[in-house]
Amino acid sequence: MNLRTIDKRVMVLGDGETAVRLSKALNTSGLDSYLLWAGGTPPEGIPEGIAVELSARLVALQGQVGDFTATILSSDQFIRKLAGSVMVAFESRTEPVFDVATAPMHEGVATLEDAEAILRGERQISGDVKTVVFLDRLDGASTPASSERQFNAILSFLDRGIKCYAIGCQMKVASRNLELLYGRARDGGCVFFKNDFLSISFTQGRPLIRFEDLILHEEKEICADMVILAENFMPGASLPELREILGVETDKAGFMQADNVLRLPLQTNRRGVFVVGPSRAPVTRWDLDQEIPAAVSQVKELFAWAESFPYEEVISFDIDACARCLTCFRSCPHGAIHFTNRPNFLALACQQCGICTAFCPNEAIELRDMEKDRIKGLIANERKGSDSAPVVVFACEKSGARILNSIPSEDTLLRRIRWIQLPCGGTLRTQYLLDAIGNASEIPERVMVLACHEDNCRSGMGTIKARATVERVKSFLDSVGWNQTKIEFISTASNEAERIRKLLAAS
Amino acid sequence: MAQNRDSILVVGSGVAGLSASMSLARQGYNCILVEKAGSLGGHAAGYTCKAINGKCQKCGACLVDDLLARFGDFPEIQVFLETRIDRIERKKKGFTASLNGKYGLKDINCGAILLATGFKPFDPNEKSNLCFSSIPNMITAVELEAMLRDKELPYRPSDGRQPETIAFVQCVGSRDPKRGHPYCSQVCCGYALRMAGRLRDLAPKTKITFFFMDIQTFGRSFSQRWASLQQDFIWINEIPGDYFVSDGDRVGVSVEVEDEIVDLSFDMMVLSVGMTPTDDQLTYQQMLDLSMSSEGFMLPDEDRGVFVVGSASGPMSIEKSITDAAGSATRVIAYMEGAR
Amino acid sequence: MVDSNLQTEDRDVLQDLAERYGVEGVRSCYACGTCAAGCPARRVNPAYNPRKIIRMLVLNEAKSLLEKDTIWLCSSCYTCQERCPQGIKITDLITALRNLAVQQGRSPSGVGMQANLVRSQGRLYALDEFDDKKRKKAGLPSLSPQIEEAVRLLKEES
Repeated sequence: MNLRTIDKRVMVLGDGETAVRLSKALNTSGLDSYLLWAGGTPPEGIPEGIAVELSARLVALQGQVGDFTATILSSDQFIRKLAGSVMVAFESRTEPVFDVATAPMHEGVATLEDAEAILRGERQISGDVKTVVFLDRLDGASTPASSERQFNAILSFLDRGIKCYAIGCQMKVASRNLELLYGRARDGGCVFFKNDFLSISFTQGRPLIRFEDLILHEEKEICADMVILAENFMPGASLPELREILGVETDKAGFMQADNVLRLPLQTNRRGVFVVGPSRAPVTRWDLDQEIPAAVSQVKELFAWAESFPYEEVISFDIDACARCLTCFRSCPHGAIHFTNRPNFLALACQQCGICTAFCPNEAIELRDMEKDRIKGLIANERKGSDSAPVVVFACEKSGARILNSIPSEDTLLRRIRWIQLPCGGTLRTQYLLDAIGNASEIPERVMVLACHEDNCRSGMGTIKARATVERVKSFLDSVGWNQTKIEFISTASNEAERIRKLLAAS
Repeated sequence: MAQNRDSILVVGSGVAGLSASMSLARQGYNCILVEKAGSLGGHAAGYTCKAINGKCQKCGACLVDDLLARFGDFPEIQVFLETRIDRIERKKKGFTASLNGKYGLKDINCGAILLATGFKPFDPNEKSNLCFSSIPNMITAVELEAMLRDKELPYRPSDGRQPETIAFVQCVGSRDPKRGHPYCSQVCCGYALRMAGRLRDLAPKTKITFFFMDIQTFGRSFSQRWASLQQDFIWINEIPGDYFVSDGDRVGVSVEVEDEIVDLSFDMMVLSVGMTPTDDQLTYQQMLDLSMSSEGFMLPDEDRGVFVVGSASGPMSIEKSITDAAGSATRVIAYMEGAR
Repeated sequence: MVDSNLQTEDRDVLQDLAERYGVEGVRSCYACGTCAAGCPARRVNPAYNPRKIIRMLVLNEAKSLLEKDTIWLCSSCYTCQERCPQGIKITDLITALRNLAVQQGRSPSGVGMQANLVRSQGRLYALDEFDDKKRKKAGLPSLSPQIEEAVRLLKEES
């Protein structure tokens, strides 16, 4: 075993509190961090020893964990920086939740951000404010992160003797101490209304809100001096470009972590690229307080893993078969292929999903133990001596294979099953399926592919790829009129043993 | 390198305990993992997959299998199953803990303690108006998890039939200051709605009703999903008052609907029970002189080497337990390095 | 000048309830409806709704609440108080509201008559022949129309 030298500097990208706190935490724990700061003036509270690059924008990131090369545009100059890991820690953008915001902003309407500025004394309220109405989104899909801000603002207004009302649809209190904060706002005199409909008009310069109190079933109207709109947390403005540069997944809203529990807590599809705080998802204060130290652990664990990673090739590549078509480069979900005049496979970035091997049109890439000849052999050998028309199963190691492994070997269920473990559904090649049917003396009754559920694939797209492969082979077999083998794609998870048992028993 | 350092005692091997011990081990620290049950994994090991129509619903239950699979890479973590801690003594430097269990009595020394002792699902017998023990087809959501995991489909305890109408009651034992639980348990809306979706996926004719106060946002795509969830189920923004057996084996409730009290009945009722402190909490609080949080859970004493991680510190999802465990590992290491 | 139809002036009712009658935390209600759904009085008379009563207090509508007869429909069974997850003493609250109403000279006529009866005779209702007939059948002595002890005690109290 050959220990690697790992660059342990951490590059933090950000524009606010999260990035500053993160850099400091990394520094305190003994890691060198440097900060790519979006703004032109240095952030406050950065201790000496943390280098800060001002007006900096990442334009390219090559390499792998322990050995990244970043190209940065900093104050109109391109610079190059080396780093072992990259952490994205931008603040989120906020957007007022309510439709009135789309109309020209009335002076009696403020956003929560405005209200916070007023409370900090950075902005003045015009006129005498005695009554304030807080409006949250009315579709029931607010977040604890947003209600936390609202409750805090309410408490500050109540402290100033201002009468507060709050209208929302579902009170979001699912975070540490948030129910207690909500309780303090209620006990302090703020009256909360729940409804999914209201109207707002402006009379004599003041906002007038009409709605029904759903408990009394009575029309209520509040004439306020100020209406304060809650805000949704949106992905920071720099994220769309950054995700392209980094090649990382986002969720539907555009936050920079896929909606995939396998990325938890702070990982992306690219090993060594982490995402922390409001770049990852809308977070409460408590969430952020956990995520910052969690980021430190995550990167230290990764460096320790990388240092002890055995230096051995798991990918074999046939340069003569390669057509330089870039399919592997484009299909790799983990940014593990660096393309020069040929693909270079980055051992520490590769997660051994085999997707490149399944996509390569010339079959120039092989993943160790998944070579097509070996699988062909396995199928042929395995099927000798089976007691009836068997079932051939290809099972992802994370889901289907765990279930099959949990079935005791003496179970009669296994007697008719021959199964092959795949590192990921994405490894499944058309050829494996055709071999399973055609390359043996006996024709199987069923060929099943047990891969992970969509969005629960470690490689993101592996299971989608497996499903597509199965569908393609199915339609090919249909077109040639082959009906002796039932071929199925079944998605599953390791905790679905009973369901899979039933499906297998149905053979 | 690890040999020269004091060990870290991790109590509890649920999602938080497993994550924290692996994180510490990877960062070069010796861990001793003590678990009172006979196997690793904690509550989540008994939960069902909630995927619907081949799409993951992000409940995170399968992550415990991932953690257990990875745990094999850490043979250096010493594991004590079926073991309890009789006593913890503070020493000039670190602690001595007296373990008592399957492997007999053993004193171990450690530099810091991570309490990952988890939670206890609220016991519905504590709420007398639920009449939990006398209504056969009223089950807790924890029982439903196990039912779906072990049998794939729901069945009624009274006759083994599949229920056609199911009601979920939310906030059972949560948002309940009177019983010392002045908090939202954070996970119940998520697990209940995911399981309800799964039930409908398995048996599309099942009619599902929700009794609720406020539905909590869970998962990243809640705003898109909430609209269709509202169509899929029947929503009653009330918590019923009386619960009783109706028509022989159905579950009846009296509830306000449109300003009138009506009696409704269902084939089966699922109580979305919240997370409460474990029965062991008081013992640990006394052993280590810990105070209680305003939510009624254990507070750590990090300056003196005692850390509380995961749902032992308050209600928390699997997702948050994983983050919390990683964060705690950093704080434990800072303590061990004497940085604080 | 347009203004809210929400009342703001009688915050002191809640204060009164807390200070004089020990009924605290009314504002902490999150309207789960457990009180109303299990209320036996509400089953008989839908006009009575403890959840609405609390809501009116939270909305500072104590004044109109005291004007209504609904607070007199409570049967004081304490089911709601027993079940309220927030620990609001709902039944005590209703009693306190009745006291406030009486102080303001508002109570259903029957209540006043009954109070006078207690004061003058020490009884909740006037005795008639029927009672003694029944007692006689059971071998019990007849009752005196006035309970001297109760009347004396009530006099001392006031």
